[in-house]
Amino acid sequence: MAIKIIANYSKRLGLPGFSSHQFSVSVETELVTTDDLEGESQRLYQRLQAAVDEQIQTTGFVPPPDYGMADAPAASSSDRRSPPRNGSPRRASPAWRCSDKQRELITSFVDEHQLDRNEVERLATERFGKGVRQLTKLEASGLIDELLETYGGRQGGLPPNSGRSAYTGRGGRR
Amino acid sequence: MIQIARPVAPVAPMVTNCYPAHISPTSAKNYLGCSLRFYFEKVAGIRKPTSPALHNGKAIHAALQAFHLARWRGGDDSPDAIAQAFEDAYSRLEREEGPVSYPDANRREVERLAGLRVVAAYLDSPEALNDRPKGVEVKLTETLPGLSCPLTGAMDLVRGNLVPVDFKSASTKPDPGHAAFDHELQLVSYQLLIEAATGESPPSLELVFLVKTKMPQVIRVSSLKASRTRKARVVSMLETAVQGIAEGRFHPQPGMHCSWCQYRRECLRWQGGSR
Repeated sequence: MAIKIIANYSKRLGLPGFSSHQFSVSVETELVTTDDLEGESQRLYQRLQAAVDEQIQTTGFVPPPDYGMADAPAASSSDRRSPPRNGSPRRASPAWRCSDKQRELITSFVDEHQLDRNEVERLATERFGKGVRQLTKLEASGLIDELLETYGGRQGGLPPNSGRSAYTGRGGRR
Repeated sequence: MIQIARPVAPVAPMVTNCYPAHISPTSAKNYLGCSLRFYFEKVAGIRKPTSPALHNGKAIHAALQAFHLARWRGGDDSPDAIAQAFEDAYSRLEREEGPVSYPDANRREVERLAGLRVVAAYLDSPEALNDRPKGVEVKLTETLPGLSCPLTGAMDLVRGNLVPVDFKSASTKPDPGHAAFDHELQLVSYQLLIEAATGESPPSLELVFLVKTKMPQVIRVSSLKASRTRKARVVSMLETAVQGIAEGRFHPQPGMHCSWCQYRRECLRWQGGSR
């Protein structure tokens, strides 16, 4: 009876601008004998790892931080390397109106859950009538709750309680 | 040459005040009402059985939140859906927060039905939300001048015109003249948070009381936004609480509220001194 061995090696790397890329290689082969199964597994692992590591170093396109957000130009690789052809200055992306912590939370959540940024923009527009960057702190608070409830698995009505008291002190005098 | 190491004199530990990570209007009010009770509940973390009124109030709050969220999202805001949200919250709270101290077996059903009637009264009342709100259960944290730690608050509802609304379930009809003063700390704190977050001032501040009488009542109390003087007063009250917590000033504050305090046994053991 023929014995098959299936091996897979996958690697995912984070990139700037809340981007990431991954690469995996799989192989399936038959073994003549099972006497050296461990050795064969080790050789396959090393070969697959070498193949993945060699290829994954080529990162390709890395999107800018505002890629995919409303009112933000979707810059391509060539655009990032050359100035605008018509000589006009590139329009700067609007700053976020919400707090830095809220911005970090939103962008981290989108990246962590691999959300479609257009979908997040749609949600913001549907709820508040504006894009994510234009949300005030008050509105961003609502968007964060929506994201947590929709994608974070949190039920509405009962906010999570970490159990840690905020009044045991954070040390030092301001 | 061999040198003999000399022992270093021990350095006395430097005692510093421990500021809270943040202060909320509710916590400030609790501290100012009785700092020792605040200590037992918030610092020591001593859990007590949930009272029927508190449990019912939380379930009512969850039902109203479900209604407002449905209005906000365009979901199912029908009375049946909101009643189901109340029932779900009622059961979930019992599972997650422990048993409720009902005095007898029938009390749970009485309280549950009373809560349902109050929710139904709100849905039928003219005070029920008609237009789309700005936000539901809005949580904000802001750093304010004159306050040694961030102010945090969770507003039940923010209307489209930025008016913050806080819902109160009560067993007796409130005095509208006193209500705004009684809840000044909370309402003005919400105004401060909204102003810091949006750069705009709400035109007014609202309380909506859900009164669990035989005929449930829904009473809205609206007050003008706070002036500069009132805002400074509230910030001072918040800062007073923050400083007291940081310095560990927890002591009994006898009064009528002791009658329903759950920490009387712990309080009797207090023999003076700070934390």
